[in-house]
Amino acid sequence: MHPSSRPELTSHVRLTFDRVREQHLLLTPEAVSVLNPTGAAVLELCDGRRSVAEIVQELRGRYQQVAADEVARFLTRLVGKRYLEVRDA
Amino acid sequence: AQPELAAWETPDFEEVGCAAEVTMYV
Repeated sequence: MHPSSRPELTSHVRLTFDRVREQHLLLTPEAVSVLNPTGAAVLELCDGRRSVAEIVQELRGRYQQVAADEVARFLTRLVGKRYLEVRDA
Repeated sequence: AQPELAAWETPDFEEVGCAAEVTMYV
């Protein structure tokens, strides 16, 4: 995952918040995944316009000590599951 | 005044359900 890559949720994936269970969820036709709060915050910024570097920068305005390598690893896992697609700059 | 920054934790996700549960959630 390159800092200039621009990740975006694929068309069959929906990011939502379950108010009953108070959990962020990723819904795909095949599976439900629970996200932790920072995972949801990262994905909310994956709009296909922001680069990974810009996403990290934005997170640093909200969180202490954001680890760029952790963000990149998280996004890479999601690309591997085909939940995210990446536009390379 | 500085906005309070939340504690960072490693972003993560875990698959917890299958297609039938997706239908229920939706």
